[in-house]
Amino acid sequence: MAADVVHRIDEDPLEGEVLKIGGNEIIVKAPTKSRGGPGYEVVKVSLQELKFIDFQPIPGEREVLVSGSLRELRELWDEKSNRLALPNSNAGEVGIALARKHLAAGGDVSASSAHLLYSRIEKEDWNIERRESARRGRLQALIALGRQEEAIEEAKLLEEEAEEPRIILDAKHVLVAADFEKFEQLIEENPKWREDDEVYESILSLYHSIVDRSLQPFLFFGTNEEAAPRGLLFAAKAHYLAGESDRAKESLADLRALYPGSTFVVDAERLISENQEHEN
Amino acid sequence: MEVGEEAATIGAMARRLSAALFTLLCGFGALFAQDEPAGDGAVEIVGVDPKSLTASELYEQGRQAYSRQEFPLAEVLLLELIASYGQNAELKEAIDKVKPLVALAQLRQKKFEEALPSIEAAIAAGGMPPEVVGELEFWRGLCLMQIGSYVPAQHAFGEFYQKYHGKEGRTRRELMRAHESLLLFAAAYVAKEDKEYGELIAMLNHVMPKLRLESREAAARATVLLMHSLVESERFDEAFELVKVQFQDLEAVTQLIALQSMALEVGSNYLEQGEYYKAIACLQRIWLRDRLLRHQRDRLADLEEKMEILQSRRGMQDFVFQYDGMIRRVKLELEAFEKIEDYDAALRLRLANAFVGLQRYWEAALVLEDMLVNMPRGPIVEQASLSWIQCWMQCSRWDKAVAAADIYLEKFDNSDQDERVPTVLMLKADSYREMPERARAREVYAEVVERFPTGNLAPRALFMQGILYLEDDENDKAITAFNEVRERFGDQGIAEDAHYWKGMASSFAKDYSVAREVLSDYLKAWNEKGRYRIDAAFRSAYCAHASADYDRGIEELGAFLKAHPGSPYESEAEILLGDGLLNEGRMEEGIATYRAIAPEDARFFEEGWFKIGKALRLFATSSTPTEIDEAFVERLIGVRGKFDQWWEDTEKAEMLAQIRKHAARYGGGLQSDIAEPGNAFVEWLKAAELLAKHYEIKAGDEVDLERRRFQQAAYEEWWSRRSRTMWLEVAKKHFDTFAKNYPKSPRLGEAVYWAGWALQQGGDEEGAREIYWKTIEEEGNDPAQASVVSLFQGLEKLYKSKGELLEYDRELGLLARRAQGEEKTTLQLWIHWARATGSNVETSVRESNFGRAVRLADPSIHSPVILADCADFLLAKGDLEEAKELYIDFRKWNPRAIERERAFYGLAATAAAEEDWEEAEYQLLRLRRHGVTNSLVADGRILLAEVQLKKGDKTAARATFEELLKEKFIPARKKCEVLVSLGDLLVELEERKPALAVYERVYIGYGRYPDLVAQSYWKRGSLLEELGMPDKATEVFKEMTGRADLENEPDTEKARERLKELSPEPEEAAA
Repeated sequence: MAADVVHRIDEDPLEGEVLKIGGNEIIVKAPTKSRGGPGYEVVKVSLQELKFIDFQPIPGEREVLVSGSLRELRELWDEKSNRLALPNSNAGEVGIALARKHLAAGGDVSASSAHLLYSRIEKEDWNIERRESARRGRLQALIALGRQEEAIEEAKLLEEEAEEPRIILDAKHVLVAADFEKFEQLIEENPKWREDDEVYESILSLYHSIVDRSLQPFLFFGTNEEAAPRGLLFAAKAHYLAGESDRAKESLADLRALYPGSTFVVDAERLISENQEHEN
Repeated sequence: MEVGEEAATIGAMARRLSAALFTLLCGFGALFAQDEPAGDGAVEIVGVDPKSLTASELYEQGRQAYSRQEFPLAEVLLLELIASYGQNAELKEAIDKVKPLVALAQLRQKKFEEALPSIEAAIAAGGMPPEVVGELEFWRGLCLMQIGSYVPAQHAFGEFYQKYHGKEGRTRRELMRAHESLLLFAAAYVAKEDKEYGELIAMLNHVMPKLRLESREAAARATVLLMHSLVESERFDEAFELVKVQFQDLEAVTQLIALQSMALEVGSNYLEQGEYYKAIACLQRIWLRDRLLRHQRDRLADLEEKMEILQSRRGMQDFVFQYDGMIRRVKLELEAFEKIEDYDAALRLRLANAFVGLQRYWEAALVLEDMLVNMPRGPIVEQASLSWIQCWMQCSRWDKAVAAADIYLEKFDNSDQDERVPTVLMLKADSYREMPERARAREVYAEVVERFPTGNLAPRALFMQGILYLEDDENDKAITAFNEVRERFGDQGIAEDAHYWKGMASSFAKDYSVAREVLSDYLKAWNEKGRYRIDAAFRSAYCAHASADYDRGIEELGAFLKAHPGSPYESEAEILLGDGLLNEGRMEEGIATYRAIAPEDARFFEEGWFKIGKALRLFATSSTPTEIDEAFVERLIGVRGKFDQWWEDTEKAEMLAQIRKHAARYGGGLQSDIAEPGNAFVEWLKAAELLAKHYEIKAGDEVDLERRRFQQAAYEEWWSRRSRTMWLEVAKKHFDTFAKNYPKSPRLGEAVYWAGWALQQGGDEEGAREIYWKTIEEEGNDPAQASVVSLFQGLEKLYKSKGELLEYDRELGLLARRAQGEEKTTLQLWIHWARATGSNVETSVRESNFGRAVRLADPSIHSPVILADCADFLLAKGDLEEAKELYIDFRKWNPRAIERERAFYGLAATAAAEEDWEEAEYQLLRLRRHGVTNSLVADGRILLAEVQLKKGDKTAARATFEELLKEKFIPARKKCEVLVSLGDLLVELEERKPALAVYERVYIGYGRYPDLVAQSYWKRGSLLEELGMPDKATEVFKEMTGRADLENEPDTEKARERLKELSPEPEEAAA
């Protein structure tokens, strides 16, 4: 019979069905052999004794994780979420899949749900990689919610603390995007900034900084198919705004040549055509 | 930056690395390590003589020795058993059982050659469990491989794969061994001589899809083998495709370092082939050393953790076996990789070179920056540093270039013998120069000269110091530097540069004779080879002209133009030559020279055109020929002389016929193009025609004197009437032509203005008005054509009387309506502005027109003059918010326009009105920095003092006033106002005696301003009273009331009243 296997410190693994997880212990219904034939006993295992649990997969679980609907994922999460902190549980994986689905759906309510899920996984999941992944997801949810200032603060923290490249890249992108907005505003306020001694140095410096930072993923994490072309696109946008259309075209040419399948290629085409109209 | 040499060095390093890792990848090391024998085969067998033992003893002791892992002893004992009792049928079963142990004991001792027959014997004996048979069959292949029998090894592995991969009910271990045998089959293929990679590639490509499904890890290892084969057979595009696929699943790759090293080789090849995008795509996938090590160490820890879990579970032996192999492979690869140096530098430099190949210097600089800032010093890092600085320079990121140079110097500058240090210093200095921070640049150039005086860069460094002095207008120091270059490095190419620039420095210093001497010396010294011969020839001629030696200037400029047609100086030389000729009275030649300037050289071309216009205007406004230019008149008189001679020599009838002929030939109005030779004569002929008519009247008198008198009279009459008209017509046509041909020129308004002026001077005011109105209407809707705005002023002047001004205003109104109908916004704006700013305009008209102008004004396109007027109007009207917005907008669209000072003042005034003193002070400081109009700057300072007073900072206000009084540029009236304000402030500060002196300064020094003088008298008198000095106060009031110029001032009246109280008339006193 397929069963959950509870691995304990200094004791043999216990096969059975994990009935309850709560407080400081888990309750397992385990088969026992008695004179009257096979029976069951209820075993309490304290969390201090627990090494990890091999949970028996729920039927259809893998399919739901790969291609389940929002409803199916939510049902699976409801069933598994109380295992989040237990070593070897994949509850966090389910939660992240559900949060992603929410984010993809768009809208404030979905983004808010995603934010809650990511926050919980970031806090409770036993697996450190998933906690990092959830942190990155929470940052995206903050952006989707339009909570820009919080996102920037979070990104600053991530930039300082995180070790995983993807999360750092996302955090850095949030900071670059915020600076890009500032840059856009400055250019709008100072359309002749190149002739303006009062603002020239500061705007030029911001422009350089945005391009430098936008190019980082492309130059040093070129295999990140999200961050690298996104950075090139931002660099091109900054170049266009600064009136450096040749450099912008070069960045976009690099994007198209090196990431032909990226969704950012469409943005690149649009940017080129918009600016061509502008130039004409 | 060259990809070449350094890349080749790195390429070789990468290939060595790749080869080392490939050995591991093939699996030999890993596999043997996996089942590494405990002993080394050198165990000494002490006290045992196998031959003395019985079969039973040999059997038992041999097995026990094996169990104790005493493999040499086990081998000896068991081999003795087989040799002595192998033929004994009774012992066959026992002997067959030990045969595998013999083979295993030999394997444990790495005695591969000896193990082979033992393996064969064990397999032939049979009776072993299938898993042991399988192991021995597997090891048979390995032994063959180990002794270099690659083809038999391939056969062995091939058979193994065939047998176990397709076996029904195969165990996981058998599948894993089948995968190993496949990989070893491929490894043996690679190891053997005379290999054909094409076959191996085909085989691996064939099995890969299935392998990926069965084992991601084995597939990843096969991928690296495949990649190696592709690289070796130079099928780089296929290798690249493989890189792209496998890099999506790096988790499966245990030999990640080997894979990445292969990718480095593929990328390197693309770089060498100039396929930069492919090189980048490949190289950017490769991780840095630290990341690779960290990842693999984490991987190892993870595998070991999983291993621990697996070992705690039942029935996981196959997984344990698999994980054990993976752990050993990762460990060995890590150990090999940790010994490799400069891996990161090689990788980054290649990536940077690929970006340089694409001319992406910004990207290359960032890659190099990461490399040089974060990586330890080494030869590659040092070499790349120069490229780093140069890349930043290519992007004009001068601050970054300086910082990069500093990092290099900090890291590597340990010796004056370092060949790269002077180059880095030069690049740093060049960058400082571009920033521009010339003083710092000079310091760094000086460092090069001082530290590397005999180095090949010292001459240029010294020379550049001279150039920097030139750029700072320190010409004497520049000359000293250039002299030093010539003295110290006279035998080098730079001496020529120093020679020429010394001449230039003298020229810039306006020491023209010395400049000519130096340049002449240069031209003699360097002849036709001189790089600056054209520049020097021009500058020498320029100096002659600039020193007012026009004859020489004309000669040299003429010669220059003849010798160097098409030179970059051509247009400037033509301007100078034209100026010289005009100065010398050679008007026609001068004008012809201006006309020769090519229209493509727009600036000089237009300048020449307007210089011609100026000459024509001068002709027209001179009342007598002598006032224009004596030489020109002389030339005319010379022509007249010829005419006289002709008159003398020719029959009258024939003469008249000739004149008519000429008149007909040249008639039809004036010859506008007077630059054409002979035109003056044509005009003269016209004059002569007039003379002839006069003469005809007096034809009956045959008196020469009379003829001459008439001739003279006719000439004068022609000159006074005809000449002026003629020149005005010529001038008008000249400016008309410009307006017609160059309507987009920024000098259009100027041209039209002068055309109108010519008409007006000729008495045709209506014509002038017409041309102005026409231009305004036709060109006035183009915001870029702001020069047309100036026509309004010229136009208004043509309407002199009150009635005419009303007419002008009415015309403006009509034009505004037409512009509105045609939606010509800019034209409407200009008209409303013109109506609002016109002289004698009623307040209501001014306000309504300004109101309309404000609504039409677009700061992004319209003239800052108009926008500033509109904003000032709003400020005066009290529309502070609107005024502020317009000030901010027009400044941001015109940050360098003179009118920005009005924006700063306006914004300060707006802020002051809103009692935002900080903002007001900020704007006034901006005005102080950028203001150029004296009166406005003075107003700004006064306002600043007021703001400081409002802020309660009286000391600062006093300092501002006192500073203002020291300024020479302050208009007198403003200075006087400041004095009064300062006096008031001193009173507030209770510095009354100094205040007395300040008031006194006003009425002593500024009598032109009676209102302020009267105020000062009154204030001083009152203050004296406060100080208890009524007598002196009385004196002041008496002096004040005695001044006739102050008679009507309100303060004088107050003083009169006060005097009555202070010193009443005798009768009043008696009363």
